[in-house]
Amino acid sequence: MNFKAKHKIPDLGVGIGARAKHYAGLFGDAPAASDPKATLDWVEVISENFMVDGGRPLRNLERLIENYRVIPHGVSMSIGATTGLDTSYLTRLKAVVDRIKPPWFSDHLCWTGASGVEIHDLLPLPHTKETIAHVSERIRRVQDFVGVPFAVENVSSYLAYKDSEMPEWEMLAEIAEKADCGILFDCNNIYVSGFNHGFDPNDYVDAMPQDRVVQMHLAGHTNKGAYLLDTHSDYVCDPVWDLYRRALGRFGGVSTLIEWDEDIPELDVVVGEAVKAKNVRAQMLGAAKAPATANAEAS
Amino acid sequence: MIELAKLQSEFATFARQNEAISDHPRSFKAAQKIATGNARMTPCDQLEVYREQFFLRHVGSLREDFPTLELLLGAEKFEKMCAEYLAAAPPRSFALRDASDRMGAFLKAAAPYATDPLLADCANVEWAFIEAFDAGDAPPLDVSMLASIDEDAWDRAKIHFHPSLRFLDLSYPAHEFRTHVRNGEKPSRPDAKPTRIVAFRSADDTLRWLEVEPAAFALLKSLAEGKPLGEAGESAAQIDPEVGEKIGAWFQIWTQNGWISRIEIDS
Repeated sequence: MNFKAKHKIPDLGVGIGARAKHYAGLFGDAPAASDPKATLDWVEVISENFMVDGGRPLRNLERLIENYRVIPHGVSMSIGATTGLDTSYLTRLKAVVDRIKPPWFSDHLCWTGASGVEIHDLLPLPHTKETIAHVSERIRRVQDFVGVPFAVENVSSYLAYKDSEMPEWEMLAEIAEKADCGILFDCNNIYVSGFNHGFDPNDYVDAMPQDRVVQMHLAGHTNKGAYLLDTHSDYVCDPVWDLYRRALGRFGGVSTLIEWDEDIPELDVVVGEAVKAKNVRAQMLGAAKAPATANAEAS
Repeated sequence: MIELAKLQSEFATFARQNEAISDHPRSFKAAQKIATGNARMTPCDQLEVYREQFFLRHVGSLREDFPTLELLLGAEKFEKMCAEYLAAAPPRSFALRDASDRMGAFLKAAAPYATDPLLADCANVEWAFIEAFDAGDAPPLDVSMLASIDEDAWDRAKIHFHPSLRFLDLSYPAHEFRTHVRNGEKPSRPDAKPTRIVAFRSADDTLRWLEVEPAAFALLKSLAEGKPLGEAGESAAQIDPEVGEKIGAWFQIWTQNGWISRIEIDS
């Protein structure tokens, strides 16, 4: 049985990353032309924002859970670090996951610090057999500890390692296989890294094991001239939409999320991107396969 | 091939160094060893992206947390101070929020900032509110239980406060300065004035502060350390002999503000 069937991973439709600036609109406390509750099928939250002891963050999380299907997405697990897994972090993460009860949770294929110092960045890993063995073993331990299927996300990178032995997509596919985990397929990150390292993003899409892709990310980036920077500060660009179409064609209906984290616009703008993603899904999958709430996109 | 642990250790060191990768012989050499570069970027350029992002991300976070310091120092000196702070107190926690946790201690000890106690006061006030924001929750005191406490048992009473309470002994009224700055004003530098405040989160999750007199402050701190009321009251009476007369009114204010969560009588 394949990964998604074994864990009954649903296609949640299209959502957005829930950010504090948009809470009032998402809760219906402030007017929003886009009617987010009717339009959005789900929202993603940054796990670390709720790994706290109390206060307003936890109240906001409860309200998100009351109003939306919520999936936790982390940025600090540091699954590729060579220091031991942070049990205090994992305990707090498990508390967030237990509160949300999601069908999966996710974080990045990266490391975020070394020698006790945190860099707070999604730092790339060399594409080596050593990395595959190291990361897949750690994912298995994390997945066992949290008790919910885990999805690992490809990151944008700006540096290629001399020691790499294979393309990134080969490493990601093998890690997912060895760890028996899902993949969070970030179309924008693939486009950004493709530009930065000179590979064809389509090759990445074509190499992914379809049954392991449980979620997709769409976002904007910034062109710095010599390289593209993954800023989540803009609309999704046309080539990334094309990549998304190709991914849908290959993976079928997969929960899709719009990320916007810098220069965050009004909620209606982000919801507008979600509506665009719904339209692309409908074109690629056919209206019959779209989730029930997708008809709200016409409003 | 470089071992993964060694590669990460070197990368992390270079990604947070103050000098550009290409300006530093060790990082320049390491970049050639680690990265491939490409037609548009040298190996140093590739590593430099991460170094730049480290400072942009952390200085941005510190700027958000300490607007009072940026106003007092000016933008340029604030950034320089942040770089020195990050070198002296590198981030240790997975939470970016915690990268601000040692700012008060740094400013109190490091030249030239230590000569201006207002800087450390501002940092300590800001950090107290950051901690109060997402500190643990606790139910308010059930006042009906007060009637069940025998009068002679109060000396043995241990007071449990709401986890958000933070006690600040300041040389300047940095909390008022902060309020003005957070309201978008550009207040002038306050005059020195010894001030004791309690920063806390109220029942509606709003961050608040209350100035307290020296004896009340001493009493609160002793109680928070777990001392029973009798012993804590005796220490506070050394500051103000009228503590006995005032304590009832203080308790009323503390209870109204939700500071007291539980009272336990030591048997």
